[in-house]
Amino acid sequence: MIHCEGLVKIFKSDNIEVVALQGLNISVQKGEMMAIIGNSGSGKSTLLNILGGLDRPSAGQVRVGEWDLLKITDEQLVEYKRKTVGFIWQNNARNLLPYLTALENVEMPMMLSGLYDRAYAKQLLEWVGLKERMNNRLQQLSGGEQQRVAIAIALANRPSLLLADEPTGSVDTQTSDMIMDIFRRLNQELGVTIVIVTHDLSLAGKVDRVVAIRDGLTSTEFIKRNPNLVLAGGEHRTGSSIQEGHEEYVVVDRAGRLQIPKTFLDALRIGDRASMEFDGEKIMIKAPKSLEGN
Amino acid sequence: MPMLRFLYRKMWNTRWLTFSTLLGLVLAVSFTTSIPMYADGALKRVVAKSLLQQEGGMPPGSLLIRYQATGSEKPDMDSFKEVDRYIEQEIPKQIGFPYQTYSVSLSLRSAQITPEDPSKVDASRRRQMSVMTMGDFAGHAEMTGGKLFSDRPANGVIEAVVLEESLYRYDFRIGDVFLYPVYGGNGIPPLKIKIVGTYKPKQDDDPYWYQGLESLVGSFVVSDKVFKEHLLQQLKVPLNLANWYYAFDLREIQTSQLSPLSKTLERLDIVLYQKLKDTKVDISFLPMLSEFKKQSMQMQTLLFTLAAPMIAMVFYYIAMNSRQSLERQRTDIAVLRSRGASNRQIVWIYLLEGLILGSIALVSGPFIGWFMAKSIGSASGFLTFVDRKSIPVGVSSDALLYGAAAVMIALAASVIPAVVFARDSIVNFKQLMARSDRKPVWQRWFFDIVLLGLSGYGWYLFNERQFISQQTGLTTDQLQVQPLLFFVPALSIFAMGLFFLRVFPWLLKLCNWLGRSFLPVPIYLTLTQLSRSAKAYYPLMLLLILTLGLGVYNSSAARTIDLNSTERTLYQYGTDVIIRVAWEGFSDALPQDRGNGSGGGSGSGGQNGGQPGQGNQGQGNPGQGGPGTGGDPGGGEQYRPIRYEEPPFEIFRKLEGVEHAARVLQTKGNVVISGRSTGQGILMGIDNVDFAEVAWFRDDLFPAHPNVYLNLLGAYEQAVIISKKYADKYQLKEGDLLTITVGQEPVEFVIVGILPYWPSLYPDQTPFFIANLDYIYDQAPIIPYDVWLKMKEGAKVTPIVNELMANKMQIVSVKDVRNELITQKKHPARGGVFGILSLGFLVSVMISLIGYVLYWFFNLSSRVVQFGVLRAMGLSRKQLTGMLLLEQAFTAGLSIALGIGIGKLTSYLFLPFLQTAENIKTQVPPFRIVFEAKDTYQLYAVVCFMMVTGAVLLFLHIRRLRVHQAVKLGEER
Repeated sequence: MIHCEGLVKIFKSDNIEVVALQGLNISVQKGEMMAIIGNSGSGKSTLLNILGGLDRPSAGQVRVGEWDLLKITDEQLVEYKRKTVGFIWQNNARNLLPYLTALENVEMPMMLSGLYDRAYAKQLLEWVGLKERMNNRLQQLSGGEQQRVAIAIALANRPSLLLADEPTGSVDTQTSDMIMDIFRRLNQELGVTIVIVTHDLSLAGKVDRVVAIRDGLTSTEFIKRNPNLVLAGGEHRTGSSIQEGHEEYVVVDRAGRLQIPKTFLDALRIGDRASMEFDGEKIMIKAPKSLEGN
Repeated sequence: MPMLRFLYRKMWNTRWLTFSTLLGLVLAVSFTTSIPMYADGALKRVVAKSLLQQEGGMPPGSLLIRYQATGSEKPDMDSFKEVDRYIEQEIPKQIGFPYQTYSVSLSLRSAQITPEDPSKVDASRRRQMSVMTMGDFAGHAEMTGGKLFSDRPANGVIEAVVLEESLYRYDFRIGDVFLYPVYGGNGIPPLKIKIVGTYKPKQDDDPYWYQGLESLVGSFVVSDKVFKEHLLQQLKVPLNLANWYYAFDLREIQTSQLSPLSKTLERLDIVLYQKLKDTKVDISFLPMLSEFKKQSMQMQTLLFTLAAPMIAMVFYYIAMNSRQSLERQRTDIAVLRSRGASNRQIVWIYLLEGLILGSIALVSGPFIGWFMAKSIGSASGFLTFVDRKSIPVGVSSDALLYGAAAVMIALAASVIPAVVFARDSIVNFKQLMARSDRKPVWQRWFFDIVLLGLSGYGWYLFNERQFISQQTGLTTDQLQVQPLLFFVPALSIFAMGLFFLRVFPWLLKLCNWLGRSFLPVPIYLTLTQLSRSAKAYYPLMLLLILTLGLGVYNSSAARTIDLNSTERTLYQYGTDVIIRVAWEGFSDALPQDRGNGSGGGSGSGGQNGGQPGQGNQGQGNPGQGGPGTGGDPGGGEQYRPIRYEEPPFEIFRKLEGVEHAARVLQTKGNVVISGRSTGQGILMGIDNVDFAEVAWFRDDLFPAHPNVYLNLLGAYEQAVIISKKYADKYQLKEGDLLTITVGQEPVEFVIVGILPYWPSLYPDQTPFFIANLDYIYDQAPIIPYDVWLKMKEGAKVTPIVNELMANKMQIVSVKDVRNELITQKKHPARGGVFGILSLGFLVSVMISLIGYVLYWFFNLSSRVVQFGVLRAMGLSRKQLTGMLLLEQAFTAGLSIALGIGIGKLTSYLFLPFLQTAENIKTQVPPFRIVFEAKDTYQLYAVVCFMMVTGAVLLFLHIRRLRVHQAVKLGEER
């Protein structure tokens, strides 16, 4: 469904230039439900915006379904947004028009694409559990309810890809679980590919695959273990939920580069170079050997 | 269709926003349409005036087309019929106005007629008659004797009627038969014409008789049918003259019709000549049309230049409003955009909204505009509207065109930003938001400085009197307004406002820096907020500065124009009413000069035309400026003393409505100083006590109170007050002696006072000498004087005249300054200037008020989160309110103070230019700039109302603010 390779995004303002994505690679299969995690400023939101067609990449390859988002024209982008992708933000101000009712909000994208289908809009709201509150103004809805309306809006045009940027960022755990349930149900029943961006590791634990982004590059991948094959050992740390159910991998890109977590580097005091050894089974990275005795 | 539904939802759910935009649009449309409407109405008034003026001659809408055969040429009958048909049927359609009269007259060449039976009628008289017919004769003429002609010739005898007058002049009798030799009609026997009756016009002033009765005396009027069928067709008598006459009713003419109508008229000649040779338009109203056109153009230019700043402000308001509402909806646009709305859809939504609102405004605006035009028409001064017969105002296509232009501009102002915004998806938008601290365009490019320079240059040009050559052309009336004199100040107010806004943040920073250590938190917060987001306050502040600055300038300008022209008139007259009665005069020598003495003074503005012996004084009185000069046929011929008898003066004091009366003598005299003649001067003889009561003095014209000088007159019998110019010229001082020759008698005076001005006298043209009337009468022969009357408030002149008549006094002239002032005030251009200024001010205040409230509404709404945070941090509601009020004081209060200050400054800078080069000479008393306290209070009242309304609304809004909601929805909603 999604295929990014060497994706670069540079933000320029008057006097600063920020490279938000520095050649990122990621692939998402159709029907997958995955999460992207990373610290703030790591570029995860930038990636999501590019995938959602809201921002354009500076270089590299991005393909979503049939669309090449680097070369896409404005008209095609509109088409893409209408048909392929649905977007949910953490901030409801970006999701909703505050002066419309829940139902009207869901109908809004339909009106824009000209495929007005009131029954489906109602059905969507029912799906997210807002049947009773359909005709309420947004101000009368709670934050969690608004977030659910946002999901319904995102689904209004039957997209094949659903992007969610911190969808549970401002709601309590219970609502968060409810939202995740909705996502999972959508994923399973409608076959919608879902990409969630979050920094909440517990949330990430609820999806099949988690990709961590660091400094504009994918660094680590966690894949859900088969719950039947619980392997003892092999755990580096405990306490964080993601490691409990997922296996952590380092991502190696096409050129063979990989990222070493900063904690490791600090622990070994590795600066700009390191020694690497290969013994036929393992690759070992060590602090650089001291030459000439210093 | 779904788009419409969406639009409906959007508009309905944001109805307040929609409504305010609509309000702005309606205002803009109505204001812009009111100007052409008023100009049109004023034109109609001018037309009506011209219609009245031309009462004597032909009606103003006259169109006379004439065919005159040259030599013995015979018109082709077919062409003639065609041209006749064309004129009768096509021309009214082309002109497009109803006509009161259509009259065709065809006539044969006039010829010497002879009686058929010389025994009955005296054949020796020369009778030169023509034969003619007039269309619809029976409808306009009344038979006074005999009967009307029949429609067919009986036995070759043609029946005709003549004017009564012809009977006497040509010695006709009803029943007489004459032979009319057909000239140039080879072989046609003379026509036998029988007079069967006499007629006279049914109505004398019927335009049907446009030719005048005199020209009809020498004509036999025969039946139309007989003329056309029998004479022209059967007998082939050559037609000599054909007149087609239309009197169109042009009262409903509109400005927009002037050009096409003139074109039609110009084309008419060519068409007619092509149809029938020698047919041409003889009299048309083309010159009148071009006069109308010129006047209406001038009026429109004048009004538009005056209104331009105000219209610009309305547009600014619309732009500001729509920009603000768009800013507010920017997030919405971004949301739509990221939900898959195409660029076109978003633009379309906003365009459609604009179109819907625009068409509503376009439908309702003209009605309000109509009302506004009516109010302009009834303005008599700045912010004073009187209830008088208002001018006819109608909706014309021009007005609608202007309204449409206003809507277009407003649409552009709201759609173009929408197009720009539509490019941004939510992500770009948020990125832009982070970089919003850029200075506005005008600051980056120093527009304010450029504009300041420009208005400075304007001031320089005015100062050098460069602009004066561009007269408005309104020279005929008392009012000369330079449109640029309203435009350049507006520009400079704008420039100064902008410049101040540049300084404003620095000022705030300074305050902040000074007070950072001791100011309480709310004030500190306010200052920080203001200095950080000063840019956001610019539109509002600019609007306020402009409104008030223009308001102050315009009110002061209107007052100044009003006051100065009133004072000019008052000075010119000197008092309320001046009456001159005829004096009985007896000449010692020849009796024929009697009439000269009694009637000679007619029309002279205080100058006694009958006063003999002063050389060529009869040539008029250049110093008066009053209407007409005394054309004295006898003056200057020879010296003959006339003894006058003074009519009883006491009557005047007791007249109804008269407060005081004074005798005022004005005559010319030769002034001699130390044995040397210094030319002519005007000698005014007064009774000082009476004069003090009746005369109009402007106190600031005199070094001391005028009564001081009048007292001096009373102190010495031979005292005289002379004009300063004259005194300077001949180095005269108080106490010097001079001699003035009055009525051939030298009279000696002592100078007691030297003054620059004296009511009704113009020292720049002729020096004046004010002396005691009784002393003059003692020393010189009695000369008729004028009676100056000070009237009671609202007293009428008519009863006075009637009473004087009853007392057998012949009134030569009555001049009422109040009438003159009323006439001036009624002048369309003047009323228009005041109307536009007042209306513009009201509109701008309204706009400021709405703009102010809306601005704060938006501003508060966009800062809800901030308030939520502040409240959460522990700021009490009271503190929050105080903070906002302080913010208002800093922005609105400061701009109001500035607006008034800048307005005053501009007035002082530019108003002196209101006196143009041309009228600077006649501008006596000297020009002065006034600020009426009343206007200022009105301004303050309006501003106070605005502030209070705004504050109340804000307070209510704060109370209603649901902070938790805002925090929940997040971001700046």
